[in-house]
Parts: sequence; structure tokens; C-alpha cells
Amino acid sequence: MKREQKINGLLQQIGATEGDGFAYDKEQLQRAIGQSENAYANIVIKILSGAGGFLATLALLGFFFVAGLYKTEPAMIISGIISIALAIGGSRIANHTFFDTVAITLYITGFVLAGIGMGSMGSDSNVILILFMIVSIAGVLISGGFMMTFVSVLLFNGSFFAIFPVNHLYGYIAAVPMLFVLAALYWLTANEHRILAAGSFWNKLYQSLQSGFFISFLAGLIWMVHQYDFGFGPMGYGRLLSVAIDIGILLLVAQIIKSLQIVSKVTIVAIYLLTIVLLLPVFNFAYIPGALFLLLLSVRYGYKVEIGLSIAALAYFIIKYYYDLRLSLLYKSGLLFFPGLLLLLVWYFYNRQLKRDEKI
Amino acid sequence: MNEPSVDREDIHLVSRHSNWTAQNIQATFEHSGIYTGKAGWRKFLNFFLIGLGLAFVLAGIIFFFAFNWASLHKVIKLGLVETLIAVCIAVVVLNKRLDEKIKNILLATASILVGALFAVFGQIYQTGADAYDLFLGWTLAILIWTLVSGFPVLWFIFMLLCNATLCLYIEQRTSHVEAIEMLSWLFGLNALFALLVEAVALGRPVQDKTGWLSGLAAIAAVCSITIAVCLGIIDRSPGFSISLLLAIAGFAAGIWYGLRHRKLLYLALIPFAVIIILITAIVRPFNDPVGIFFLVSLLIIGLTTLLIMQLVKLNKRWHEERTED
Repeated sequence: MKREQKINGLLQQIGATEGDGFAYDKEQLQRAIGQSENAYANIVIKILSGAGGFLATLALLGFFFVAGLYKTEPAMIISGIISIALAIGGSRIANHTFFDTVAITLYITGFVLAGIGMGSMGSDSNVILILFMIVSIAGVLISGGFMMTFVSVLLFNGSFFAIFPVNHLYGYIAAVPMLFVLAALYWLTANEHRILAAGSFWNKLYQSLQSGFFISFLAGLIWMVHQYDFGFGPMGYGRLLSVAIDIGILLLVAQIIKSLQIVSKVTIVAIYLLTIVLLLPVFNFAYIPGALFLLLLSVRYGYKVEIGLSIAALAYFIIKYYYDLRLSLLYKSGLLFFPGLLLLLVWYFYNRQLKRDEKI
Repeated sequence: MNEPSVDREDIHLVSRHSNWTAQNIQATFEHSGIYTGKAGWRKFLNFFLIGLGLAFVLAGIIFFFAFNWASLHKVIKLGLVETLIAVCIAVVVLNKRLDEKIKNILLATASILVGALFAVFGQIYQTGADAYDLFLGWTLAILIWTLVSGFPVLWFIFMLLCNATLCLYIEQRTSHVEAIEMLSWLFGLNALFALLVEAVALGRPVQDKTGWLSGLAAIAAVCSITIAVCLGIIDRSPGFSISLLLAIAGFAAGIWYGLRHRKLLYLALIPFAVIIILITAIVRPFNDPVGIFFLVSLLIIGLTTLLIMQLVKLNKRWHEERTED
């Protein structure tokens, strides 16, 4: 179906539901259709841009270090600031696919140089991280491009997260960044319609923000699995995060129940109880319910790439969980077999219910 | 999930340039099928429950027998695995009403159990076979199932097995083989896979609607030959000329195919690989590390940007041609 015809059909439908008050800018829309077909209509181009930017950043950083720039802290800081400014400003002025590789390279290089320069001059780590967060927010608000916004979100969340281990803050307080990312991801995804209607500025930023928070949350979960491999001890917030994630899962289960039009109170209670029973054994391992939350969220709101990533993450986390369990093979087999049997029983009764519904 | 009549990007574009209300935007997301509705959730839950359930039950059984393994009689050890394989195949063959996707999952499960069977056999009888024998036998045993199923996941398992067999054969059965030669062989194997998956020559194409399987095979092939050529440039290994010829032939075929069938992945992946090879060739003769790093960063930025420009122009032309059809 021709794209313009499709959009014209959509405009007619909207006109019918919105009434006479509905108005749109035809010229801007035509231009936007043309531009979107050029640029990031394809994820391949996005990945290519990111990969090119990443490799170029490594090479540029290599140049700065081999050239001895690390010996001059003020030069590193100034170079870093100029790189960041060029990246943000350039991305704003030349908001175009072609500039993205350059922008990402300059942006990340700028942060690395400025960070190392300030660190070498004895600046407090907290000051550096907070500055990074502020500059990332500026990157989101000023640059306007997909990749720049996406990278800014990752930098913001990464810096926020780093504050806690750097200050040796463990326990429930250390859960704050992950809780923030979880809440932001859920709120953004569930309120897509409101953000899109909030004006063209937020409309343009929505996709990059949602993708950025998704990847940030996934990275946080991966960190939880591998924190010991990097020499960090338990951050101590697994259970608090589990509670928050389980609440998120139950909210999504509520939406599933509504979509499936289940009205029987007994069935609804049974579904909630079953969900809690399945989540209990992994309460201390928040990364598994975390991956399940990401999967249900992606399926509910139709993000196909995120569904693939969530499935891969869930499979990996489950395998890692059972691999790390310090139990005999007999106990492990029980912990696998009985939940599996429960799931198959649920599948059997679920299918029976479906066939009953179809007959009606 | 049902294929939506409008997609997410259409809704984003229209809402950006209009006064469309939030409530109606949400309604459009729901009615167009972008947000998963009743039918989508039913399908997802069906596969999620059986997929996860089967995986857990099978894993539980495997762990149970691993625990008791030493004390089990060899007949029971082999019989158990063979029974599981037989049950999976029997369900696939005899149950006509079973959903196609569930049959494929059971076939894939049986294929994995074949490997377990060979491993158990090797362990009981201490055949002393090389690991390559096990993988070769496993690969051949599931060949026909793979061909008839058309299931992308099973093809992926088969592809992994072929790669493992090849690597182990080269390592265990041949005398000293350079890394560049092994990588060239891997390129050949994975390029063949990409070709097979894309082609309809087998009469029953692989049900790979999203192209992820052929994409993975293509990425594996291109990565192997790119590393081989770069190693050849750096080390000046004897196998360099062959790997270079393979790269030229393979890349040319890939570009032709990508242009002909409008596959952007091939047209992005292959030129990016060429950029990496070019940069390796350019920096190899120089001894100045400062200059090299700076030159490399400029080259990557410049060439990648140029590549993206061309891909965007091409993508735009394809869209225009599609709208004219």
C-alpha cells in the first residue's frame, strides 16, 4: 500500500473521530514523510552509524593518548568541552543522518577526555558524574537527533548509577538509579500517546528516550548478574528492586487480563497468585523478573526488536541463575522440573479454556 | 501479533504535525494492532507457556539423570534419551491437529536430544572419538529434519553444529592450519548457509520472514573473511591471496544480491567490512602511531558517513519505486 495513501487514510479516520477541530500541517507532514523514508527507517543504518561512531571514538582516543595529551590535564578538559559542544551544537544545526557518526564520536570522546582530565586534576568523582548528568540532559534537550539523544540517555543513567559504588553506598539506597530507570521506562512506554500529543519537541524525542531507557535497564540487569566479575561486591538492593519489578509485572498482568476480557474473579485471582508463585523462587535474583518485565512490556506495546532482546536476556539470566546455584544436581532438577510442570499444566488449562471460548 | 495497517512511525509522524488528541492516538495504537490485543496475547501466552514449560521440564529431567548418572545401567541411560526423541517425533508425526509452530519446537527439541544421545553413547562405550566425530554425527543425523521443517531456529542450530564440526575437524584432524585458512573455510560455510536460506531451491523455503537467520549467516561469513584478510595484511600469511580472492568474489556476489533483492543489511555490512580492510591496508606500512590513530579515526568517520549517505539515497529510491508500483 502506498505510504502516502496509508497516511491519507489515517488522516481521514482521525478526522472522523476528532471532528471539525482536527487540523494538521500538510506541508510539514509531506516533508517529514520524505525525510523519514531517507533516514532511520531502517535499523541497519542506525547500527552502522553507532558502530562507525564507536570505532572512530576508539581511534580518536588512541590518537589523543599516544600524542601525550593525557600529560596535560587542562588540554584534555578543554578538548573534551569543545568536542561535546561541537557534537551537541552540530547535531542541532545539521540534524541529519550523515552527521550522526561524527556527532557520536565527538560526544563520547569529549566525555572521556573531560572526565579523565578532571579526574587527573583531583576533581571529586561526584562532581564529574553530576556534571556528566547535566551535560547529558543538555544533550537530550538541545541536540534533537535520535542517536545523540539515545547516547545521552545512556550516559545520564550510567553516570547516575556510578555515583553509588564510587561513594561506597550499598544497600537499598543503591537501588535508586535502577528504580528510577524502571519507573521512567514504564511511564514512558505506557504514556506514549500522551507524549506524542504533547507537542513536536517531545514527540521527536520519544523513540530515542524509550530505547535509551530500555537499554539502560537491560544494562543494569546485566550488571547485576556480572558485578562480581568486575570486582564489585553485592550492591544489596536486589530484593527492593525485585519488589518494584514484581509490581511492574503485576500491572502488566492486569493489562493482559483486561485484553483477554477475563471477567471471572476466581480466574483473575488465580492468575495473580500463579504469577506471584512463579516470581517467588527468583525473588533474590531481580534480573530474572527484570527480563520478564521487559518481555511483557515489549510485547504489550509492540516493540519487536526489544522483544528479541528480552527473550535473549531472559534465556541467558535463567541459565546463569541455575548455573550459579550452589545446590546438588538433584535439587536443581527439582527446581527446574516442578515449575516446568506447573507451566505445562497452566498451558493445558489455558488451551482448554481457549477452545471452550471458541466454541461459544 | 497481527500485522498493523498503519505502523508506529506513521502515527508518530501524523501526531507530530497535527492536534491529534492523546486518547485517540491510544485508540489507534490499540485498533491497528500495534499494541497487542486479545489475539496477540493468546498467541504469545500459548508459545511462552509451552516453550518455557518444555525447556524447564527437559532441563529438570536432564539434571535428574545427571545426578543419578553413575548408578544407572547403560540400557536405561540410552533408553531414556531414545524414548524422549521417539516421543517428540511421534507427537509431531501422529498429531495432525497440533499447531505447526509447536511441532517445530518439538522437532528442535528432538534435534538437541540427538546430540545428548551421541554424548551418552560416547561416554558409556568410551569410543575415544574426537569431539569432531560427535558433532559430525549429530549434524548428519538431523540434516533431514532440518531440511523438511523449514523452522529457522532448527536451521540456526544446524548452522552452529556445522560451524563447530568444521572448526573441530580443522583443529583435530589436520596438521597445522593457519588461522587465516580456518577463517576462509568458515566464510565459505556461512556464505553457503546464507545462500541456502535465501534461496527457494529446496522447494520449501525456510520460514524466515524477518530475515534474521540469513542475516546472521551473512554476518558470520563477512566477519570471518574480514578477519582473515586483515590477518593476511598484518602477518603476510601464505593463505592471504586465497582469502583475498574469496573476499572479492563473496563481497561482489553479496553486493549484487543486496542490490537485486533490496537487502540493506548486505549493502551496509559488506562495504563496512571493506572499510575495515582498507584501513588495515593503509595503516600497515606506517610506523607513526600518533599519525595512524588520527588517520584511522578520520577515515572511519569519512568513509562511514559516505556509506550512510549512499545507503540513505538508495533507501529513498527504493521507497519511491515502491510507491510508483
